[in-house]
Amino acid sequence: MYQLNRLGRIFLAALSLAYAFDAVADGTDSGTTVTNSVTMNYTVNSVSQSANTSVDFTVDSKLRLDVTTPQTEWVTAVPGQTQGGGTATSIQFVVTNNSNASTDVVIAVIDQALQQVDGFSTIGSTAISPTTITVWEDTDGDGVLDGGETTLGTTAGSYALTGTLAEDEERTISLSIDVDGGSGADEYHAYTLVAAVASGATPLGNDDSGNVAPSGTAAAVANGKDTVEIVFADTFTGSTLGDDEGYDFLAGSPGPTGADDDDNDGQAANASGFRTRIALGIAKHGEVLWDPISSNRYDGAGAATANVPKAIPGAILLYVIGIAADSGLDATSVLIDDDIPETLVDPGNTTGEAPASINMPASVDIDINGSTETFTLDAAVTADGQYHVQDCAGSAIASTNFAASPEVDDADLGACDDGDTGYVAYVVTVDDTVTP
Amino acid sequence: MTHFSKDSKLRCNAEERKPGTHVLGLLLGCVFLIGAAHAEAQIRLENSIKKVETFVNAQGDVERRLVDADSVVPGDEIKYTVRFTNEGADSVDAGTIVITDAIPAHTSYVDGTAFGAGTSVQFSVDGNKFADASALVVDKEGAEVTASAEDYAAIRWTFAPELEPGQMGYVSFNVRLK
Repeated sequence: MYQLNRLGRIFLAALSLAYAFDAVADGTDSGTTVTNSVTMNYTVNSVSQSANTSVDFTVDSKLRLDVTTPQTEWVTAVPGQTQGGGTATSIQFVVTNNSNASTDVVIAVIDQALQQVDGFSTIGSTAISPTTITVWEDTDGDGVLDGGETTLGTTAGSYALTGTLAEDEERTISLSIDVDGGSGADEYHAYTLVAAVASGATPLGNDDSGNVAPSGTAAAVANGKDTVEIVFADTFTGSTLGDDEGYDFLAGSPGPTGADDDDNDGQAANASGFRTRIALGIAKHGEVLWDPISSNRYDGAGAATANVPKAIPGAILLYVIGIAADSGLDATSVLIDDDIPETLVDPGNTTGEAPASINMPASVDIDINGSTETFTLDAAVTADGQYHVQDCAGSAIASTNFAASPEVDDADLGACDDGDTGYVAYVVTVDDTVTP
Repeated sequence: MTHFSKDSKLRCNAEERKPGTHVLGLLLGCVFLIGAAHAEAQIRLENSIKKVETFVNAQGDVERRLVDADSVVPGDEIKYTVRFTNEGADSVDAGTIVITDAIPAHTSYVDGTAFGAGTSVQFSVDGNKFADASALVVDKEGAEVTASAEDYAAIRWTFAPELEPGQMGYVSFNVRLK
């Protein structure tokens, strides 16, 4: 019994080492020999005897690639952006080797144009016409084509990834587009990336279990308990849109648009895409606050009254220039100029009836590129002969006296990151000294 | 890879003779032990492996079947069957057949699959101490909890009946490749 106990301890030690070297995500490594040892003890006529036996098998290669994308929504592309100019935005695909063996990988980029991407907002009816695309192995995954990173190509089609992907290894593939400067907002373009297991730069057309890649020919099933066979173990991920389209690497053409990728075909796919937006939105809002006849449009609390003052000589007007950055891009050094017509003068320059009190609205709503933005006015915005700048960083409002001829000159809104808003606001008077 | 051995001992060398022991008696003892060794039963032990495969039958139902374990990848379920046959001339003593099988490295035991007609089954989490499944405990995060199938390191079957010449029996269990 002592010997059995000692063997048991040795076995457990070996077991612990084996577990320590197992790949976490992929299961037991391909090529591993698994041994089952059994011992029998018994007696015959009270004489102890024993027998033992063992049986082995070899773990086969379970090849599985997965393709994911970090995007959950269309990536903003700005008309005029270029990869060469360093202004292009990009989408990312992460290819992961979830096999229990290392494998070579080839990819295909499929131009899906107006194909809807699963989970993204509903696509529009106009496609972006990229002037070029750039596909590269994004080593640091930052979406920027850095020096030393490998450019795979500038067209849709298939490419071999560099080297071999080890178990669990991930590669980020980024794709950017150059967009014609004349493109409008809300144009779309989708791309699918298909990754396939390969030998060198040649995709595997079949495995040893009767499974085939698109248009591949099934090979005779090869099996051996003591040899390593290949099994395609990829699974369809459930998308019904462009995410899982297959690619026929043998023919060099994509499958039917929107068709599902199959289980066990040695491939995996995902999709992402672009939508054009205008980098910064700007819109000017103007309204009459007061006239000598109707008095105030607002009460002292900023709420609208029943009065509707008119733009007559001597009337007081509010202008708000609203800025909204909602393109996904960051803008810097945003400066606003605004030439004010000569018929408008600042309140302090009026020669007519001076208003005793002008009430301001608490906020104004401005439609910027189809989206309503609400600008809450700072208490500093009054009929005081100044223009007031609320920068995009939300800093304390800056007030500047009008020059003799009122104009807004280089009102500095600073850096406007995606989602930021800012405004320039001022109050002027319709000059009542001008003779018609 | 089947091996036979015997643990019967011939302790009749001079060093073991105690003072006062008659030499003739010692020799008779040696003859007796040699006779017992010659009467040994030889059990042939066979260890086979199959893969458990699920498939959809003609009626659309999911069924399981055993196929050759020629293609095994992580996640597959494996069934081991150990057959023992008494190929000797004498019976194996009742209750003395003890079969010990270590759960292979890279696999985990599939709960409820250990089987053996006429046997009692015990498990071990360390390969040394065997007990009924409900009595096995392991330490998890500082607390003692009942061991689960994944904790088992070995299985032991004890065959109760006598195994007569020509008779055979078998035990089996399933594991899943990690």
